[in-house]
Amino acid sequence: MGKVAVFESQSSFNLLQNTIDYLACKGRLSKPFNKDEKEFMKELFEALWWGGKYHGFDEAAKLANHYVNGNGKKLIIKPQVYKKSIIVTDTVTALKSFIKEMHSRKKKFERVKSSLPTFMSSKHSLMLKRGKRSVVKQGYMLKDGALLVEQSNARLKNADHRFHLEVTSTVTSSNTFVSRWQVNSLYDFEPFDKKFVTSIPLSKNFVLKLPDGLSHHLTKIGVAKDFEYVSRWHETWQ
Amino acid sequence: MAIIKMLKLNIIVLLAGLIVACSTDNSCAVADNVSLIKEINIKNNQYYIYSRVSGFQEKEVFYEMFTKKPVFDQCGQTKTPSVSDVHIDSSLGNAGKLIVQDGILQIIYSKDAADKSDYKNIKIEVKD
Repeated sequence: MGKVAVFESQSSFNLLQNTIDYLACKGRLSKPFNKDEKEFMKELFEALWWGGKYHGFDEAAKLANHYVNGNGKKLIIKPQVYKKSIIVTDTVTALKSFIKEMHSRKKKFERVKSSLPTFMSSKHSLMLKRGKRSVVKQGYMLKDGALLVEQSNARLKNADHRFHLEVTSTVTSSNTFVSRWQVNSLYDFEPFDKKFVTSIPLSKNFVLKLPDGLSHHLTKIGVAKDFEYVSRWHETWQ
Repeated sequence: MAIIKMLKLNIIVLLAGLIVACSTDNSCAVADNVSLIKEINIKNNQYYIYSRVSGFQEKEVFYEMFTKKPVFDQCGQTKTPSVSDVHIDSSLGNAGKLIVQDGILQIIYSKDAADKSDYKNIKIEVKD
């Protein structure tokens, strides 16, 4: 509680926010960051890891930390966050139905992506399109076959907001399918011209504003690196 | 050196704040950014159009329309139901115009880079 008392001082918050604003200004003007300023930004992302972890946003926390400590290496994240998503489970159901039909018609089914035109134009994908689906509770499939996460799922939307789902399948002699589901994504931030800002509520009345352009700029000054991340899971089904 | 020590202290304090936020009335690590972009009156009915930007590294933008002015909490959430909402699907092009017709929002996309505008300054057209 002592720390809370410290934090709930306007001057402490102002110092933090002013530092971010100052560095964002330097970033916009492409002015060099000194060692301390780079260290500050790195520690800020590491703090986001702790905060995200505490809130139960394990994947978002891990991704933020990897951005400043992962050296651009591909990261594998556990699939539970995808498997629990409404739009993912609905898409899995639709893709299975599509795969079964393709198999019964002796057509290719071994590798299917949610953006595959034959899937997107099939009856199986109808249930995934906007229609009456609630973007808050269910999410939906966008025109390019990407899945837009249900907005009530903060854990997934802060880790991966829109993505394509891919499945590789084989079938056994007993007509049992063995599938590997996969999501590939890129972790990066938009530059300053998009004007996006991430709002991080701290204790009451304090919301930290972190410009996405500044997070993006970290890749230009060697503090962070964009990276690919992937999640996979296997399933046997009929 | 004194400044960087102060900043490091503030990072620790930030961490404390993030943790404490969980136990108070806000329950999000990242808030949606919600902004009023237009108030319009159509046939004596008042409408409030807001932009909503959600997500962390991957932002998605929505427009929401209300008939009553909503109150948003620190996480950008409201108990006031919207009468219509629409998402900017960037794979379709630039959001060139926001149409309001029969109480429903619709986006007109454009492939022309000249139509690219800040989502907060999108052109809004009311159709009868």
